Amino acid sequence: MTSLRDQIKLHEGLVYDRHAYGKGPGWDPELIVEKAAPLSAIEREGYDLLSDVELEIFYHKMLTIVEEAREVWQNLSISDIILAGDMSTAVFTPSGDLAVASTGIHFHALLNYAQSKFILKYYRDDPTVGLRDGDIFFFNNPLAGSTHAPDMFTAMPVFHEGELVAWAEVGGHQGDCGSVSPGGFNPYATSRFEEGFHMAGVKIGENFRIRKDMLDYLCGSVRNPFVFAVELRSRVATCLRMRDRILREVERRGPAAVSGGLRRLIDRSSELASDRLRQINDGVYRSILFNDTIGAEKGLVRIPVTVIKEGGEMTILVQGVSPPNGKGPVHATWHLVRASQAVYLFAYFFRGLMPNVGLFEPLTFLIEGPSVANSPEDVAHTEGTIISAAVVQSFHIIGSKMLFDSPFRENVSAPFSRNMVALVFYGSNLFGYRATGITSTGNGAGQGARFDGDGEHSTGFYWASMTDAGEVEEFDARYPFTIIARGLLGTDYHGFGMYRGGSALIEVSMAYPNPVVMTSWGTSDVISHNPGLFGGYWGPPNPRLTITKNDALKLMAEGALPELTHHSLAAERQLGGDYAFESSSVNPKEFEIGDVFLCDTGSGGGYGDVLERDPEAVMTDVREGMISADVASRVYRVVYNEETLRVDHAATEALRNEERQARIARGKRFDDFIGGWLAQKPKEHLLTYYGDWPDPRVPGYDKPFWGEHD
Amino acid sequence: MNARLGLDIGGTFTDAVGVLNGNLVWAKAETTHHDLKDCFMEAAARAAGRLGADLADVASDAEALIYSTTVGTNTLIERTGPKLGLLTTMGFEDTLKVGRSRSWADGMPLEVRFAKGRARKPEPLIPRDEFTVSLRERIDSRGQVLIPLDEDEVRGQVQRLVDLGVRGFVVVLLNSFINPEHENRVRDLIHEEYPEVYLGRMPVFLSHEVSPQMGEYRRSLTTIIDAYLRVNTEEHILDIGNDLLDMGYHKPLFLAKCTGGISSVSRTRPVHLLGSGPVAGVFGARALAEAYGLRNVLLTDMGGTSFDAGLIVEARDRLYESDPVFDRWRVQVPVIAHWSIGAGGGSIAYIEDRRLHVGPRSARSRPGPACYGRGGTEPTVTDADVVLGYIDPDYFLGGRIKLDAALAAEAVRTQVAEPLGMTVDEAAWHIRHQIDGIMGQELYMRTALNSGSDPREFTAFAVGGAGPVHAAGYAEFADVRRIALPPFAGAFGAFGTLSMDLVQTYEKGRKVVIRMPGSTEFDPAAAEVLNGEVAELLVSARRDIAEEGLDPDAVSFVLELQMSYGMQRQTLDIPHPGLHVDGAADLSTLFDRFQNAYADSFGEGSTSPESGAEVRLVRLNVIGASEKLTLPSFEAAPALPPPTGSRRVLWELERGWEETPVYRLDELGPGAAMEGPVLIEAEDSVGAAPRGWSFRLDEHRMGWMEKQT
Repeated sequence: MTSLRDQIKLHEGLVYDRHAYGKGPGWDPELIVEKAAPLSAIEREGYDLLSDVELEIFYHKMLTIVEEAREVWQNLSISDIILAGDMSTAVFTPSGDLAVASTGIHFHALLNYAQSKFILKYYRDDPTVGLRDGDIFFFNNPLAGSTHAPDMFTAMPVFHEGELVAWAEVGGHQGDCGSVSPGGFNPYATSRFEEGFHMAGVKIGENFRIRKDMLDYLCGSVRNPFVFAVELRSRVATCLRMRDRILREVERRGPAAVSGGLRRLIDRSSELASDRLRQINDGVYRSILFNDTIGAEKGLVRIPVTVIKEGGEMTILVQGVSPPNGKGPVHATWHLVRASQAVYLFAYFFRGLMPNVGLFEPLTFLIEGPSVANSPEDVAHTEGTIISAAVVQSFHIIGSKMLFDSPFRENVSAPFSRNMVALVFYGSNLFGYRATGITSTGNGAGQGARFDGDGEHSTGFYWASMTDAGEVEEFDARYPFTIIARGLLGTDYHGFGMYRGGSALIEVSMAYPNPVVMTSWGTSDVISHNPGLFGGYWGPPNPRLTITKNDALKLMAEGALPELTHHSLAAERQLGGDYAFESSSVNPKEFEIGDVFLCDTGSGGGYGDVLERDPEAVMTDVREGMISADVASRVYRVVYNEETLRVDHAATEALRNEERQARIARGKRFDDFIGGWLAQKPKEHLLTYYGDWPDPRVPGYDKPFWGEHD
Repeated sequence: MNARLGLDIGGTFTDAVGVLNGNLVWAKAETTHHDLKDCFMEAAARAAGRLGADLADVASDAEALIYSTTVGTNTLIERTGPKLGLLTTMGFEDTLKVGRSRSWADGMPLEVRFAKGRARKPEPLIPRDEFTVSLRERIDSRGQVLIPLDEDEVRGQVQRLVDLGVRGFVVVLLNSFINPEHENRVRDLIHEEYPEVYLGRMPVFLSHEVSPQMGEYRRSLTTIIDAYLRVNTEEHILDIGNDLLDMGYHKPLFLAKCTGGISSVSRTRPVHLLGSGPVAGVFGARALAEAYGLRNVLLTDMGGTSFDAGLIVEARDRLYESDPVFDRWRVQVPVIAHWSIGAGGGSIAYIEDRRLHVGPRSARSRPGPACYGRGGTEPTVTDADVVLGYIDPDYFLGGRIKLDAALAAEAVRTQVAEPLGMTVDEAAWHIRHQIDGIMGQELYMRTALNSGSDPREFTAFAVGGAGPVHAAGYAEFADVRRIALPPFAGAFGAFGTLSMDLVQTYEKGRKVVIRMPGSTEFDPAAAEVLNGEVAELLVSARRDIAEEGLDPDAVSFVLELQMSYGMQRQTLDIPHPGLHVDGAADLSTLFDRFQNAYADSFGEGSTSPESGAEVRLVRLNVIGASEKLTLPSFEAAPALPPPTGSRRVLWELERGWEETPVYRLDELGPGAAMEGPVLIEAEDSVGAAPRGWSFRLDEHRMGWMEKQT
């Protein structure tokens, strides 16, 4: 019998199971695509020293080590992003595979292996570099395994009596990386050489201390040298803390038991992941998303995902992707697309299993390249997460469909919000500090609705398990601007459904008391990346809004400032001034005192049919300002008294039945629908970077995307 | 009679400790959740009885009655506080609902943080949609008015809340801790509308008065909880106070606080009563540590549902918790460091994904462990202890509860042994081993985070019903080699209340840059700003001292400055001798102390002197020392009596079952010493010293278990 996987036809001339670029100075993509390394001698020696139950205790110990390290790093750091929890601490096997990760950004932990493996293969025996106790390594080069240049990784080998027993590593976003653009996001970048410094597995310290010349070089390359220096020291202190704790465990259990135990954790996760997969229906599942920009320029880009689930294995195929364009930074790498799936796999699909690289072992990734999802060498990369996240969102939709008829239905939901406008700032704050960074409002995204309830509002950062959106008074004192409203300020600003999506934390800020240089980083200015599930509405797109030359300061002084909500500003324009709805990818610009900007990180999609939402829940939404009367009536079809919000249940049911009948009347035969759909086409100027329409890789293609290619 | 009586209400039992003429006694009563006054009086009467007197006799002549109450905790968990209205700055009404986007994980076990997909935020204590109203006003972070207060709007919003039936107002305006002008004006306007002389006047809680610190989310929660607990707490305390008055007790009823001291009712904030029991235990441990000359101590309390721990580091007076959480709420209270995890005798063992899990879910007292025979079918840690022979089913709690060993074995067999393909003995051993591992490893991590060092130099005090029987087990995982078993381990919180000083804490959040980044100079003007803040705190402190009727010469003032590097969130509490910061020289000394403390906590290479430094908060502790307890001494017993019996215990899987001698603690005299494996049974617990550990009883009847190898 032919397996489902065999039915997939890959395009000739394109690569799928590896990167679309080759080996270079400091990087070797062949190493990056490898699965967990074969057992090393010490791992083999200690592999069976711990029983399954003892392994649980060992895992708990390792978890306390990475969690202690996470807290230490957050305590020591002065980087806004690290303080907000957008980082990771992790322990790796001697071979460099992720065994234990803290709460934080899991894909950071999943990328950090690249430098360890490179060092082990190329530098360990090189007399000019070597690998010794007390060494400190650093990398941020996307080609060598990083996300993008602002994501920086630090690694420290852990030796016991001359033998490598583990790696302690940390990863996190930095406020600046010496790019043309403050913060590192340069929407106009056409090659990686415009995106700041790139380092690949560089030894920056020996004997547990950072080398002064390396520290000076790095600090001299960025706009925030004093933040950078403190930050780098805090990374090293964090690695040292993990090293100390691992060595204590080595004293207790022996080096082989620790190294072998770390490796066993990976295999245990792998076995349990396969177990779960076997309990899920086999099949071929598909979902698709489009992006609306290539950077500074508008342009449609296609990112389809197909998942083939068969037995205890799963293949994630990203095929039919738009080609690389070389005109902007929206390019992902093969490894970034793979690592990003941890966002969904760890918190939803495999929730409850030990989050490490073992959960990826039963999975095969086929990512078409060269494309925007598997980019070639010299393109710009900084906003590649837009593409990798689009794959995650589709995978989330697919996974929810897979899990609905399984023992794991509790994990079924619409995706967490990925739409984003995060403000990147540069200026002096009230206390005279030069501050560069990203606002923590990025940690206020709305959750997708779940199979058994509404999504939570403002639940964290898309990429991380748990993060902190902070407090305004602290930001007032830290940032070179002032927040003048912050909350769930959006009405009709989430996905509707039987269960509604969670709403975004929206922030309205003002350049005050000094002018400030601002740019932003984000996606979904026109096309949302927050799909609903099983008929639920999508979370809305969220372009950046700035209001310059406005009367806000005057109104404030007069005590006449209107309520600042998404609706009062975006729709009613209650502040006088120049309104600009812009792409979140724009060049930095100096804002004058009083200029206002609005940003958020998007709201979750809904779950299920709006006509099945409890009318009383609809009234609660109205009461809380989450939806307008118009949506209650026209979308949810609830009949109620607008003053008392009392529902007329009989009339509501009649109206809903009427709508159900109307839907049937509007319905088309499937083939008719597809025929009409395929006849549609976006405007040509939006397809400049798309590739061939509709399948970027198949000229003249005239079938739906799940159809045969020949 | 001059007795001192300490009382501590727990979830199951209320404990009392009495001291009279060097005689120290303790007693217990079942906690009466319907009315905590009943158990207070019952436990107090029993303790008085053990001192040989009626409660009335003891009370009428008592020197002090000190009370650690859970009335606030109950109010918070059961949501029985009054209906409150919140007035806050326009544009920030959602602060509680947003909960820094992390409230879904605050106060929850670690594994919840990994499960964002199932996140559930707690419902705010003040609902957003009806009872939260906004005021059009704004003060910036320098304290300057950006939007003036609209007084007509205030009146309107207050009326709106009154119409909804609120019983009190909480006012939280942005940056009020820097400039309280608007908050004060709101209170004046409310008082104008609802004058004191008329019925129905409602209390107003201003955030800058309850918690004058940066951070509107935590300040809001601190103020709201303080307001929310007030009515129930006040009624309960006054009720007890009146009864004590009737008995002739005319001194103040002192309350134990989580801030690490006691104070009279009129000088106590309700929010400071939360967590006072475990903190009292820390002070009890501190008193014993001082008596024994121990500088580093871990207090571990393993009960039925939780494992609580606190620590004393380098004999420091007080170590505060960073960013504490009460229940699900993050607050600004200088809480003495202690923490709790879901591990206890009632922790349930279960299999999920072919993996053994133990806790944090608990069988609690109802239905309780399977061996209780109350219908519980899930195996617990206590069931494992029974199966393994650590607990005698006929002598649990001194024989007051008879356990069914067959039910314990059956639960372990069906729920754990068979799914994992093990024998019942192996499964029970792994359950016990795993919970010991979780407790010990968490203890290690928390100690390391709070003290900067690992616990190898620490002595663990093991209290609570399940503490002594598991102490050696979790000590192994925590790297602790010495365990103390206090003679009154069953009433340790109550003992702790008698060890606490009279303490009043005054705080003011103020960000003061003492040295700019890149500079090596200290700003003398910063010292003056700090002195101004200290002066204001002293005014409040001296007013309270006078109102308490204390002798100003009999109290001491301790100044602490919360410091950080420039722009860093992590702070360290640095004590400053005296009450005046003398220009740049003192700032330099403070900076050096901060750097040293930083290096101690995070390592030499982690310091960043070029980052400059800030003071973030000024704290003044006013301390009236209480009489210190002295432990009674007993004469050494002539010889070790024979064991009261022996039973088979499965200490180590590799060795199999071992016949183990069992001693009764009350039959042992000071000087008794023995090598493990051995069991020492007391009325309310069992001490278990494994092979490689010794046990001895000292002249104060303190038990010591020490690792020999």
